[in-house]
Amino acid sequence: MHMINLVGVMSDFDELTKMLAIGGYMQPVNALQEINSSDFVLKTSNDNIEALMDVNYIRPYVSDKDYNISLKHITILEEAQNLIGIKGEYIKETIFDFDTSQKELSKVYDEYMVMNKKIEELQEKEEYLKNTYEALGFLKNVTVPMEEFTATENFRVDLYKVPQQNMVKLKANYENIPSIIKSVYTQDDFVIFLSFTPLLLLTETERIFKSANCEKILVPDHYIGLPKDVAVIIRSEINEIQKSMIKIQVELNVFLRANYRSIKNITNSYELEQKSEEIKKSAACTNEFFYLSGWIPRSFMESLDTLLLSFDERILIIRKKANEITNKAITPPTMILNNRLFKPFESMVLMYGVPSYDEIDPTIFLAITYTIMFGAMFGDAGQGLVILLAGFLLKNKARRVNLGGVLETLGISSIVFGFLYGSVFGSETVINALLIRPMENINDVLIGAIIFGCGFLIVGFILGITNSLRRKDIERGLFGKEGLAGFMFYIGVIILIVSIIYKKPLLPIAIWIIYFIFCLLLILLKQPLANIIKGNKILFEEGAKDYFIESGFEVVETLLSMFSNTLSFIRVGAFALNHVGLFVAFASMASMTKNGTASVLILILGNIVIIALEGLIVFIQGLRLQYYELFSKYYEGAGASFEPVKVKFK
Amino acid sequence: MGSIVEFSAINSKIKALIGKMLSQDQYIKLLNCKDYVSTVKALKEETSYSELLKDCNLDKMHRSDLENILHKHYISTYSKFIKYFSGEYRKLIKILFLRWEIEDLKMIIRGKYLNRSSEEIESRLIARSSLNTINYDYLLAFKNVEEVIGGLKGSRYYTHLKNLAKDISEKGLFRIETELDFVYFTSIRSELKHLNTENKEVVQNIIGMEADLLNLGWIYRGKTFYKILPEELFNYTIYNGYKLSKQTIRKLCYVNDMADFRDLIENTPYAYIYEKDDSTIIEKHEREFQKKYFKKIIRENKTNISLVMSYFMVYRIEVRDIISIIEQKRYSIDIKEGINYISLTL
Repeated sequence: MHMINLVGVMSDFDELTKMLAIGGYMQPVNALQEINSSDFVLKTSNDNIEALMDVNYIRPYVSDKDYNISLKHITILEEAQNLIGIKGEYIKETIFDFDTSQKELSKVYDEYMVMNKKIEELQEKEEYLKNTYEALGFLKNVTVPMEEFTATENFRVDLYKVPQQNMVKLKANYENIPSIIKSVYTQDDFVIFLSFTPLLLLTETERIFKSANCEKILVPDHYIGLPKDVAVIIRSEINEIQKSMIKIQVELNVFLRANYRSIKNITNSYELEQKSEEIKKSAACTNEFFYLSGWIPRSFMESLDTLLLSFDERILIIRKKANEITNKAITPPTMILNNRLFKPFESMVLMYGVPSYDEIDPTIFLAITYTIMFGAMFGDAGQGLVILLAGFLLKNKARRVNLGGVLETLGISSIVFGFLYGSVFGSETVINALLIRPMENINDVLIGAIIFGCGFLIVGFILGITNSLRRKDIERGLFGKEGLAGFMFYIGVIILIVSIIYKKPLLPIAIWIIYFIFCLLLILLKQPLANIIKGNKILFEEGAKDYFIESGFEVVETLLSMFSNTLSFIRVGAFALNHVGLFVAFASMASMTKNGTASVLILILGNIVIIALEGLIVFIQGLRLQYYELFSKYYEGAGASFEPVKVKFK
Repeated sequence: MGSIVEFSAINSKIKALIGKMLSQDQYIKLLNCKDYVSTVKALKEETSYSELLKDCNLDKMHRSDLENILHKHYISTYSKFIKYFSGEYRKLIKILFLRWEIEDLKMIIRGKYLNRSSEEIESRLIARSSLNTINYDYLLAFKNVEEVIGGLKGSRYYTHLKNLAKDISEKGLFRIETELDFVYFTSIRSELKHLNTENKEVVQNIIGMEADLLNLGWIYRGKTFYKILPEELFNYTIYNGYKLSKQTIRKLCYVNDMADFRDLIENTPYAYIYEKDDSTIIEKHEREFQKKYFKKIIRENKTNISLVMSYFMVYRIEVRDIISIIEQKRYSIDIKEGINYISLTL
């Protein structure tokens, strides 16, 4: 990981940030903070003189672009596209210049809106005519031509649309309203009513109606003839409108299809614009120059150099490796790289924590040990195949790449152990065991599990010590219970036990006792010892009394936890037995039924239960062994992951 | 049983929060501070607001900043409460929140009408939160009221305002604002259908009381200050009140003087509020009335939605009282007069 500081003239700023966003190379860091720390150093030379002078007027970059409305417009266009179901290929084009993309957008959007507006107007007209039609339905028995009662001398006929709840109020107050009101049509939330108002009282009445949020919808005075004839005319008008609406909708669809590329292009451009803003936000600038800081992984450095070539050396670059940084307040992010086989297991590590920058990524170790443990606990060639298939489906059909990938590997491991144990779908009669039959050699299986566990723990210890030493944490690395002292103690205990079992004493008991006490003393005195080595004057950071109480308990805990952690691995063997045991239960149930179909059904059910239930338990128990017994030895997971600003083109 | 599962967690939380509210003594202490700075200091050091005001520099803080902090804290407390609810109650809480969103929407519309800059409007908005149903930034980017209303397309407000967008004037604005208030009450009413009987009644009563008070205030002001036509007065009232029937409201709209007005509400709980014909006293009494009403609900401590609703009402009144006290101190109003502006009687 490198810390990169870039300085250049403002005119290049936009292009640079956009190119960085497309590449997805950089995780920006607040540039002002960087400048204030001592890591952003410009050498005093003639080339840099202007940039150096400008540093005095430095301020954070503030965006002056407002594209809230534009973004909404884009969403409207996209929604319109989705509505008619246009789907096409991904387009990787973008417009770099913001003004151009703005112009493009307004061009497309305006054209769209013209058509959309036409449709909306037609819809409104349709609704209006429909309302009129309903109102005329009320008048259908009137035998007076329309023109006669719309053109009365002293009265005025109006049609109003009013929200339901306001109609209630009008109704409650009928006696005070100087108009005859007759509701003619009611829908869920509104009412349409006809009003006959004396012309003299028209202004007052209108005021009242207005205050009740009544909407005047029609003055049907341009229609001539009997109401029922007019109704027919209106019906045909409605049909007419519906036809032209369909026509415009078709036009609109054609337009949207034709502009598919440019709409995608605009969407991408705005996406890019936003991402580049995101980078810019962390930058600092003066009137002429910009100052940009960020983390770039070593593997991207070359691409960055090629990118900068296009700027003809107009951009100054200062690079520092992560361990050269003096500002300790910022921690370098971690980019986790693993090959395809181990990648799915990353998610299991990340559930615990992101490895810090100077920590070993435990993914590979976890993947290998976890796979072996799962197989050992759930060794069955047939059921393993089911898990493998489930993983394959999850990965390819349901797009759950991580879970699918993990299940695939676990499935394979289960198949391999299935052959070793000689088990297919729980049955141990189909194939011969290549290695061992767990149920027949219970003790061997349990002891084997513990031996495996010891091996894993030893590797865990080594990883932990390496991690601590890399971090120059002497206290933990050399004298801690997860460090060298603890490791020596653990190895000692193992050797002692082995020698007792095989009855070949290597050393006299007294020497063993001295050795163990020595290791425990190291653990007890880890802080003062570390401080002596580092040359610190203070031996105890928080007072000697407190330290010894705490540390004394830690020694006791060391003894306990080493014992329990090792024994914990017994479960690997126990579950191997359990697996067989469960099937035996189902098999005896099947044989008790004495009915072919029923026993087959029970066996199938048994297999499903075993895969679902035991599979889950084994999955979790394995994870528990990883997190609790192994990670606590060597893994802290206190890092932050590398999250570059990157555009995802649609 | 179900109600215990649903409300016990939230009600314990509410109880704890009620314990943190200002006590009578603390109010008196604040009222007796000699100036603005010492009042804010007392608020910061001696009340539960210390946590909120911890990082504020009192010397530089403007009165309006403080108000903003109080308002926003109210809203953020409110937004957090959504996590205690699911299903219909979650919806109800969201709808009750509309009230503050509507206040902001009114602010935006009025601000655009007066050609205020977006930043200026923005600084007065209080209800920006995860519960919003409208996009603030999008609305703020528009230039005038008509566009703002157009921009509401797709929200629950649009159908109500569509018709009113044609007439943007001082009077039109009034219509828009009252219509927005109606949206709040209509939305609650339609949500009510989905609640069980007990909670339905609770919400109906609380909201009905709110509607009653608003109606009375509206009619009183319409009569005394603006001389609005009775029919219009009536059309702008909110229906489905708690103690006031439609007929009473209508009669109130048509009264000739305040004596008749008082006669009509004599037998309702609201008589106390309109005892004197003085708008300051009326307002004070109104707040006191509400406080008393909700405090009673809180004391009853039932396992239903009432506690949550009452807490937010009482908390609202507290915020208003604090703001009022701070205003008084800022403009050096005597405590004897100042007491008239808060919901407290010494």
